Amino acid sequence: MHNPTQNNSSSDFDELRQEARHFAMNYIRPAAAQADKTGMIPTHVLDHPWADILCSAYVPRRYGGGVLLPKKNERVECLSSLSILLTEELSAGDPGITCGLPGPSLAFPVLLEFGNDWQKEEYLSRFCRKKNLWGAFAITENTSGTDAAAMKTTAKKVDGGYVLNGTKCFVTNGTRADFVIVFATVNSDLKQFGQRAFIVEKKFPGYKTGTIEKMMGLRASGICEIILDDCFVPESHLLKSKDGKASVAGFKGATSAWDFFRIEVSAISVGIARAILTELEEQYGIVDFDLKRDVTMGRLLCQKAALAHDQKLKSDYSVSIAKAFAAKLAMDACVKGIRIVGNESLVEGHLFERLFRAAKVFNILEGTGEIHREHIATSFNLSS
Amino acid sequence: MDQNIITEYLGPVQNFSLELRRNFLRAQMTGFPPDLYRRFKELGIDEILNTGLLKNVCLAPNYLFRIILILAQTDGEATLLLLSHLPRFILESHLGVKLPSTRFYPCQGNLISHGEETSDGVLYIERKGASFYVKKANQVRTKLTPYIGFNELKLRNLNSCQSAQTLAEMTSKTYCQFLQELILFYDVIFLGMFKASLNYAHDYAKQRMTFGKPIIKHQAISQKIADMALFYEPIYEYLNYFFETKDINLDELLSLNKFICDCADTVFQEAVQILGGHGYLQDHPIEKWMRDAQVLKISLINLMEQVHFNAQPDPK
Repeated sequence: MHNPTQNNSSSDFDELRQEARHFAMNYIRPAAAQADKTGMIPTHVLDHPWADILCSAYVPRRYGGGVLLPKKNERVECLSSLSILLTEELSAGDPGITCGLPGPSLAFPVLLEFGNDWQKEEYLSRFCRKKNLWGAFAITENTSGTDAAAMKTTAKKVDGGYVLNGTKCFVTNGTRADFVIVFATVNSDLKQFGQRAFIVEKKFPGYKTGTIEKMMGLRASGICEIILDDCFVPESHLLKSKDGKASVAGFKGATSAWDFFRIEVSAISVGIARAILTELEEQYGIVDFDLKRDVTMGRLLCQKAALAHDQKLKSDYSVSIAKAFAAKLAMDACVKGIRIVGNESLVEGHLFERLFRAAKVFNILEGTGEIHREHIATSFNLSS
Repeated sequence: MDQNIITEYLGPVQNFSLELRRNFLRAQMTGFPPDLYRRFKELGIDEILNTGLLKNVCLAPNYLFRIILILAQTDGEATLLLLSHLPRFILESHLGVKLPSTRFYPCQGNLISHGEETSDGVLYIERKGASFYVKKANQVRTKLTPYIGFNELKLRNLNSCQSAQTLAEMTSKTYCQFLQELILFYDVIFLGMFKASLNYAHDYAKQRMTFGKPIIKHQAISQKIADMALFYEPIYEYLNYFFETKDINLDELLSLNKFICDCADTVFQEAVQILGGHGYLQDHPIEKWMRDAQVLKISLINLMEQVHFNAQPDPK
């Protein structure tokens, strides 16, 4: 797999980045307040060509995806190192809408790694054929967050497939998703080794979306509950590793999604901090060099983690460092912005109050800051 | 310089650093072993640094960064001793003149030099009006000042000198550029000391058992180690970026140093805390690093103040 930032000159990506910035500042940012109130992404944002670009960006080129480089007229794979550039730009517009834009989302890394040819063709290439399509990923439950192995959703083997029962919560884009990668256990005594991953379509009987979570921020991201009530999933929708082991897909599928999305979450956090930095500079004439330094540090840590991930190197330590640092950075930046601007920034609809509400979640989702710190301490390598 | 040659030298520097580390506790008890500097010269690192990297730091700054970082992980003070010609080389690269082979450490306002070198004369910088003069003082009176750390450097305050020879003149701008590069060099030494403390504390936490398990398994300890790593890693990436791109402005540098100075207290104090009572003993190097860091921190703050002051437009 090639690394896009190495095989292409930075100017190729600069242009792409500029276009993403234009979309973020002229379409996403103005729509953010309304989206935050209604929980819906306005149609003029979804109708923009960049919504289509992002819908198919993460899909590999052989299924018709990738990102078109404007100058070269050539499609490249949207690997992590390119993805974080775009994500940072978009989330500087608004993190809620960025999380809610069309695309396979967290379903993509699991499908790519554990889907068979039919599953990939069926579920990945549709993002290149249709407009405004969403995928989702459901693992968290009310009583199992970071400790995913304690999940209670069950998968019972029946003739021709599995019957799923349980409730998943905090499913990003759950309200809009065409299909969801659902994790369930066939035997809870086996802990993580009993986990299985299924592709569950919204048309399957027994599948329904539950309460739309009323959250402090990130309201446009369509986060909701998913209820599986005797939901029958055909055998063909079970994900397996290359050697045919469903337990490996169940165990490692979540990890592969997290490895990918934790870098994205870090980039979103950096984008939030950058939005504060830019707003302070452009609207209030205040240049905060400490914040500028921290944003650069966060970006460099994201780049390091993304490069390691793209090159299939052991990246968990760098990913945890990037995530723990960036999540704290986003929150600190918002607090700082509010402190500098004062009362004005606390009024509903102000950029800073919206970002302040959104920023907190990034130190919680995809592994809390404490869990990442725990991981950093145990995986810290003396020779690194 | 050929990249392969530099890469080859990273290996010997790594080995040398391990050797230095093995001798470290002895050095702490009995003073800096003179054979280490000789060994350093035997390896040829000093020579190649003098002729290649240090003489023209812009040539391969990213390798210089790595070499200094490796050495500083053994001990910041030892690295300052071993690379004591570095400030002079940085100065030479800015002035374009050859200066006498004298070590010097510009810090703390007055000249503070390596005590043993005073007989050869000392190099110092003096300001007159808007210009700076690099001078060599031959007959000097110095006062040994015992500091909380960096005792092997034998830091001295310059009391007076009877005669001084002016070697070069430089503008405020050149002086600031020199200080900025010097500060980056000090930053790397600080970073190396961070890493050394982190490594030492992590290693200890994995071996030390309490309540039937290694202390790293206790959340309070693992969070401390993670916090230290979360200081080290961003600074590493930031400095590496500067050395790779050679692109840093004054405000970014001042901001970076503020961050490093803020981190320093936390990192070294937490390292001592993780070792508990052992951290307070001189049997372990951590207490020395904690003391050394205070001197280096004050030096850094002083250099930053000088940069900040001299970067202001001349009131005249």
